[in-house]
Amino acid sequence: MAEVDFTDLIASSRPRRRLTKIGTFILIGFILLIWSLLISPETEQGQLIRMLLSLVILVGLGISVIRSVTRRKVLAKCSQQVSDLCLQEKWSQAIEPLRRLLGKPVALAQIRYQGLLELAGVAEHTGQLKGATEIYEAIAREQPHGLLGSLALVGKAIVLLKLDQLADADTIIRRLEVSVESRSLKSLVLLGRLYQQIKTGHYSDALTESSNKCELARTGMSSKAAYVYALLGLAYRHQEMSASSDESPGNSPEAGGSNAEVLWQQATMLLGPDILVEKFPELAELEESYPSAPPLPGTTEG
Amino acid sequence: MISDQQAEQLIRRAYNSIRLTRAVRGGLLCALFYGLVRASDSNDGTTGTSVLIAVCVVWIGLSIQARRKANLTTRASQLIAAGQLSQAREILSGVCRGLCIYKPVLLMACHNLAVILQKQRQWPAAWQFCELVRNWARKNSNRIRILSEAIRAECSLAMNNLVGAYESLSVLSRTALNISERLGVLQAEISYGIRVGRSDTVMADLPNKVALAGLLPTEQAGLAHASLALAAHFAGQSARRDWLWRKASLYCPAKELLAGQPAFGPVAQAISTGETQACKNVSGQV
Repeated sequence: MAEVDFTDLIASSRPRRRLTKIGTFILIGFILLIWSLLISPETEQGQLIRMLLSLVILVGLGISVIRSVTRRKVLAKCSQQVSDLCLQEKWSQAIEPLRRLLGKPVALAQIRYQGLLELAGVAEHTGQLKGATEIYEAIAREQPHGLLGSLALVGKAIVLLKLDQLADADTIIRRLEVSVESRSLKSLVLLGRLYQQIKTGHYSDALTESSNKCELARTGMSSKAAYVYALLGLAYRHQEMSASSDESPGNSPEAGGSNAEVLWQQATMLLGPDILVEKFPELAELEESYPSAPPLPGTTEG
Repeated sequence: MISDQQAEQLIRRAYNSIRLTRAVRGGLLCALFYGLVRASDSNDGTTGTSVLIAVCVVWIGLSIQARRKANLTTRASQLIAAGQLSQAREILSGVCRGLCIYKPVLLMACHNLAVILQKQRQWPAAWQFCELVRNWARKNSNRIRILSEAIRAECSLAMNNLVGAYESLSVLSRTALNISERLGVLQAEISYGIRVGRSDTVMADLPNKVALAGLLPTEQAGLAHASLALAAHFAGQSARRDWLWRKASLYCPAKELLAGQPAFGPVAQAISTGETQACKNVSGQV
């Protein structure tokens, strides 16, 4: 896997100051036009200069507009390619188009931030967690308010949990729990909180109001609700294990029909077990203990 | 929700805005040529240059205004994604008021209005906005046009206009689509296949369709899986039907699916009958 310099890509994708582009050209054009007005029209030379200047300005303006439109089209195409690859979880294939997209200044903020979020996703899935934190930090710093900043902070909190920086992650999640309003963001914050509770072994806290948590994840995260189901399943497994060790030794959670198994089946129906374990390696325990949901009949994969 | 009258007003406003934009763009182009011709005139070059300056000033002013409208349209897209439809509609009706020199901004605003109306199940109004985008963005490869065609197909199906749905789907089938565009078309394709009795075609390449349906937002994912289950039911593939219905129920509870689309009734009934039969078999064995 090729190493990516995330700091370079964050810096290189920053848009140039506006005056260095069309603004400069328009300014020069104005000066030339006004100058051409001042040239005496009586002489033949003056008329020729004025006509040439007008032509130069118009052609130049035309070229700069065409270049700007072309660049925007190329950016949109590249951004679409990256989005498609990330949607299909083809993270390593997305690196090259991301380099192309973010290697030069990106004038459209929406495309830039989307690209940066996808780059953070690539970093997270290729195990470059420090890089992912760096990108999320940059987005949250540049966009402290609104959807993007909150999205970046949730991402950062989850990465920090993976890096075992539990206190920092807790601070971020606590702040987000108070501030976010939209349902999809709330479900992401819930995922962060749930992962934190699993990491710190607070299984009973993770299981409070579990049906409400499942409902929030279902409505806000679509297929990605699988992460919440699987983490809740893991919490159930640990709780069931501790309950069985307190009671008779034969009453193991592998006996079947447990909440953990049901949740794992639901999670693997929505996302493959490999995807779930790749995102949260702790889930390997569930993968080893319970069967995954059956695949679509007539195929070998789910 | 907006009333039919408000929807009509919105559409009229969008059409007026498009007409005004066309007229102003044409006028500016004419003025540009006039300025060029006069600037090269040996007797009166000053008038030509002044006209050119005026055209530049007006163009820059309109560009700034269009940029502001583009930002508002982007904001509206984010609001739609977050489910704040009424706020998004307010913003977009403002964008559609008056002129906007950049055609893609107006097209996007109209498309977003179609999305809002489609989400609110106001099919005729959504269809009209799609028609507007379709007529204005003539190129089949135009991205906004592709997205609008997908919505138009769905609206046509909801309005029992199979010919309209066929028109849109045939345009889309001739175009190379990326993943997000294919996601937009998926539901219309499945529904159309079922409506014209081609469930076998719907079931072709099923794993790929299931993978795509899994990328949709919750409600749409539930609907797509349930529609595939219905196609499997008609195609006589009961194992696949059961699996797809089970997965659809993970996105939307069966009750919600049935309330939204009573057409799924046969699937739910067949599954419950199958379960009862299985219970009877098991109890018989016991």
